[in-house]
Amino acid sequence: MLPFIQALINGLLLGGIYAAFSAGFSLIFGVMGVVNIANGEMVMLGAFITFWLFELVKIDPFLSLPFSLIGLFCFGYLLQRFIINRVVGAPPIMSYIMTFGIHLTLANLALLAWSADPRVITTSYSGANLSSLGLTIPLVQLATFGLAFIIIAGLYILLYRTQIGRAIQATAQDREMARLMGISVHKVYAVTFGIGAAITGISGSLIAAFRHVETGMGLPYTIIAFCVVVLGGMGYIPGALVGGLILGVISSLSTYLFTAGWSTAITFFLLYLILLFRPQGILGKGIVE
Amino acid sequence: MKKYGWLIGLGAVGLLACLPFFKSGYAINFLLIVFYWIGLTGCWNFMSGYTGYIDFGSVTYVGVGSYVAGVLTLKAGLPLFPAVLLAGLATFLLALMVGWPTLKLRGAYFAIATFALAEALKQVCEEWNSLTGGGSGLTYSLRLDDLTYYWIYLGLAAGVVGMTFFTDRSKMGYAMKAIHQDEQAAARVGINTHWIKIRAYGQSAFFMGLLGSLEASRLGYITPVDVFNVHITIKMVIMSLLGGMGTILGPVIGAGFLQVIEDVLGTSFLNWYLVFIGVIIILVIMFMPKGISGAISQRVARLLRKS
Repeated sequence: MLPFIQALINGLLLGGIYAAFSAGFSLIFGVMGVVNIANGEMVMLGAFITFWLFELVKIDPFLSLPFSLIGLFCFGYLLQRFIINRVVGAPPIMSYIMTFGIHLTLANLALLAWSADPRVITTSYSGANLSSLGLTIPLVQLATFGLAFIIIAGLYILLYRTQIGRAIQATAQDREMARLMGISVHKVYAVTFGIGAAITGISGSLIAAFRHVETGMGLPYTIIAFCVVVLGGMGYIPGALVGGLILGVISSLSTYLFTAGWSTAITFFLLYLILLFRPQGILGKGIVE
Repeated sequence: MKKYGWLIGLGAVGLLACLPFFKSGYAINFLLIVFYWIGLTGCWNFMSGYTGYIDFGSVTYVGVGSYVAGVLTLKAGLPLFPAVLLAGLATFLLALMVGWPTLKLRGAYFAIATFALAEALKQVCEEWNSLTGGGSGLTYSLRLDDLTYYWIYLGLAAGVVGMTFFTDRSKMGYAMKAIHQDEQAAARVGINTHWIKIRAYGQSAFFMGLLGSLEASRLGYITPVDVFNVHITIKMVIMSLLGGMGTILGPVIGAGFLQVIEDVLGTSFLNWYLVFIGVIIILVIMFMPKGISGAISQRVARLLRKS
């Protein structure tokens, strides 16, 4: 029973971080209908910002969060303004392929610059655990889990309680009407993409605190984001939280019960079945085309 | 011009079929790979380019085809050609079964579902050690010589392009284009849209199964990661897009163009090559959303209007 509970806890801890980097993906899809295949590259860039700040100027991984927040916001803003904006409103395939092109460019530029070596951040508290009743909780993961919740709560408040959030929602609901009401749609799109990239980037920084950082890490995280967002409902932000936790628990438990390989297979079959039978997500609040 | 298009095509195929009598070695090896990709891209274009249902998991049929033929030749002792035909049949049936529920999904949902299925099947092949050899792979014992592959791939590429040509202006072709433009309207005028999509999906899967299993036998050794590689799907998508989606010659132009670039850049700048491809994709989407053939036909139309 104890290992089972341990697997459950590990799954929940992982799920929090899944939720954080999927929320940005969900936001971008919900507002402009763009499936951002380069989402994982934002995770990768965030992780590398944290790694280099730690390696070169000894900034603690948790203190590097503002840097990846600002860095990726600017990057996302410019990317949307000058490149992705061209495919908003075009047939969806254009956005998949465009963002795939961005994924390919970024991942391989990173590979050229930083090589494929996996890197690890080791701090004084890296191996610290909280243990009682035979269960262990890694402290770093617990902290990132908490921060992931704060990130999603922050996004929620930004969307539902601020002026720019209302503009984003209005644009998502009816682009033409928002434009007539005096909202600069292109600016809103660019800000939304910036916010999406920034959240994803911070999640990458959090991941860097307890996992390997490498240039090829992007695509797997994009795939996880697909699963999370489909589970929770595409475009519905709180759904990312539910989807992330569920996916984290499922993959952790099925790894414990079977093997890691079967766990991946189960995850994908689950994703497929959810799409077939409940495309609006578990909570039923996602966008259905 | 359009009326005699098939004659010109037949002439081109005839010339290419005679080429090995004059040239040999590198040119033949390069062209057979181009034909292979024209075939695969043609399949993708036939389904996704015409109906607008973007399949992000086409590699499923390449992978399943490779494994069916591999298991049949190794474990059941079948000769290569029956095994390849059975692989095609298997992928055809699988596509009908998968297509039935999956083709009810739309847009991003269809794309993600097909992608998920391809990844799931890759993992199954990786874990099912007793049948597929798992992650360590499967070795084919039967291989033809390069020249035979050249002719077979030429034949299959011509077959797929020919299928697209004859479907393009048939009832089926118009139904597929109608689905692309407005599926509900198409259904309202009496087109059985679901069946048309399943049929197109099955037909393209059949050829992908044949091509996949033949290519597996040519390479001689397969692993789940190789034959279910998402980059195979992506390459089909990009080649279709570069050439022009939903056109007859799009796959020929796109596959030829990208394969030449890959040959020129890929060998000398392996990492930069992928960066270039990424940038090319971004630029094409930004400035030539209808692909190379679309951009050319626009230019031609403008010139004709002027004169």
